[in-house]
Amino acid sequence: MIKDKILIVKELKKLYPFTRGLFWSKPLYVKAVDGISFEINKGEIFGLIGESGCGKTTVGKLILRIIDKTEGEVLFKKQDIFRMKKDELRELRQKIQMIFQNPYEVLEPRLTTFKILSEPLEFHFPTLSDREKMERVKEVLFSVDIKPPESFLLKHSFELSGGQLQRIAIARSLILNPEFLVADEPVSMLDTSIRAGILKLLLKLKKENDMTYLFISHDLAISKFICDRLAVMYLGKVVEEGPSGKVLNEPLHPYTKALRMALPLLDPGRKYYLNVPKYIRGEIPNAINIPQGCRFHPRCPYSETICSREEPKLIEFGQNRKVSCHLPL
Amino acid sequence: MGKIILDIKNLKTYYFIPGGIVKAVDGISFKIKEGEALGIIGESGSGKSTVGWSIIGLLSHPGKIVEGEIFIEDQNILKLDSEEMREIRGKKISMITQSSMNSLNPLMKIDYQIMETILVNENISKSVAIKRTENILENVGLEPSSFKKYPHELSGGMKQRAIIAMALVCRPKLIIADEPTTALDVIVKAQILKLLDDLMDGLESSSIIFISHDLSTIVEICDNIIIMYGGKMMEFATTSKIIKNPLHPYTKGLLKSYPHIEKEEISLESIPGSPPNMVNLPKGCVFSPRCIYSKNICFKEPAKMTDVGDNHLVVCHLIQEREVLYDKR
Repeated sequence: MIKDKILIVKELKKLYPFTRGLFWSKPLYVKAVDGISFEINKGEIFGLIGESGCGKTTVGKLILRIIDKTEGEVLFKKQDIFRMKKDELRELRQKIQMIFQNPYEVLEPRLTTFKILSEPLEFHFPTLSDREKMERVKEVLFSVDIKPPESFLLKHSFELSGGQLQRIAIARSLILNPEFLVADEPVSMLDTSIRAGILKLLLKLKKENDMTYLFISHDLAISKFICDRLAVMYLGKVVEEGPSGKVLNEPLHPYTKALRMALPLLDPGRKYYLNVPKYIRGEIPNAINIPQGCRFHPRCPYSETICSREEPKLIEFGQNRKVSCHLPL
Repeated sequence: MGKIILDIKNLKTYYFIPGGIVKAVDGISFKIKEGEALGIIGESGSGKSTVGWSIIGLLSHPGKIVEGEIFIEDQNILKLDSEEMREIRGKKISMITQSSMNSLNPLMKIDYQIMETILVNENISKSVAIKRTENILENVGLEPSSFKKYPHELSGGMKQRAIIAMALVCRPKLIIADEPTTALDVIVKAQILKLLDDLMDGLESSSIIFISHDLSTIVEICDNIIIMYGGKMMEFATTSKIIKNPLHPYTKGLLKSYPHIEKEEISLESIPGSPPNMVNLPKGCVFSPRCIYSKNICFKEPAKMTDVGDNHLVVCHLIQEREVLYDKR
């Protein structure tokens, strides 16, 4: 069975130019996203994981075309989003929505919940009557477990807790019935005791509305819980891709293994952190001077001469898995 | 383990704000022995950081210690004036905060800032201080080439190392680490935890308090754990008891909300409701509105502390009925 691919990303690049000094310097580039490719099947949750600065959020923004690409293609339902005209783009924004990390910042503090949720409706469906808008807003609030919806319609964001705010933010991204949702660290700002509720809500909504998610996160345990497949990013490139359980528990790339080792397991006295510095050295270099050859080799415990000379390609490795390493584990 | 370094008795720290009184810390008592690592876990607004600021005597403006005693090695530090307190800070107690980037002076080189700490606290010559600065910076894993750098030239992990060096350079008896790794990526986080673990082995008589919202990180480094909620202590026990035999419903709920990466099927549960409004705390047990076991008495009276044996302290009305209650679920 050939699965329906809803989103295809091909050799996508985003470079941010900057100059050092006044006149005489040649431009340098921050290579935020440096040529990545992946495909997302309809109905799955695809995770993009990596540490801060690896470019995962930039990928999310590129997919929504909030920022422009430098090179490459993003095909949403076989259409290149970077070639879309203004009205096509407007249609696209209905179908692709984003949930952001910080619910305390994304909601306009001067607007009521009703206004926040009905604004996208007004913009995309100007013919809707007030009654229809109200019905839709209540329906969406109900689906994100804000109950009873009536009592929240006139509230402002400062009157709500973090969990409620994130639910409203999710409601806002659902109001136009999107097919594809980019969720950028949707629970990392929330307290642990309410995280699980939001994650379960995202799973429920996906099922009910037949959606596809790109889930961006730095948290391996949460990604394992929610994602079907994962891509691990390092310095603007995908180093490994595959089913989430396999990738995290039998990693092929040394970087994935390091991330996995650096994960606390609620095991008293185990002191997981003792082995990590022995395995991996230093910190992520900046995205301006990316190391020659494999970009992970200066920190890799297994690196050999070939690693510093040639950049590995992301190639198929076993069933449904891909890895970009000369010496996969 | 030997004598008691810190002894807090019934500490109450309130913030007097225009909207009312925030009882951030409301009757907390605990002791720390020489060489012990204690974790204080709580969600945002639970008062965990206020405990830290109260101990070091740097509460910000509307905050005031209204009751209680804090003894550092038999000296009640709440009786000291600000001059005497300055003598204690750095030498006997020091603090590592979350946002290292904001705590370093951006206009001074790293080594100078650390040397200054020594010269303020101890009566030694500059050349000895310089030697000690170099030693400590090397011990925290900074390259000699970065000693003479400004904070903006260092990465987040390196700045956190510098802050740790500053906190340790006068060999304090007690180190308060308030979310020391929260802003860092997982691999750097592991490196910093290893560093703190090594340093504690080196400074055998120093004790450390880890304040964090993330139970999973703290579990593997701490000997004992305090679970805080709504300004009150909910449970205190050794780390392994907290993990293997949690007795307070809040602790139980908290543990269930961490996804476990190694298990094939992951169950994840959240605690219903959201953290309490600190100005308007619920009557009775602060956790009662969110507790799945709560009974009439829980909403009426605050719970008392019970020692269930071996210094495992629980603040819950239903502690005697726990076997019947918890089995049902």
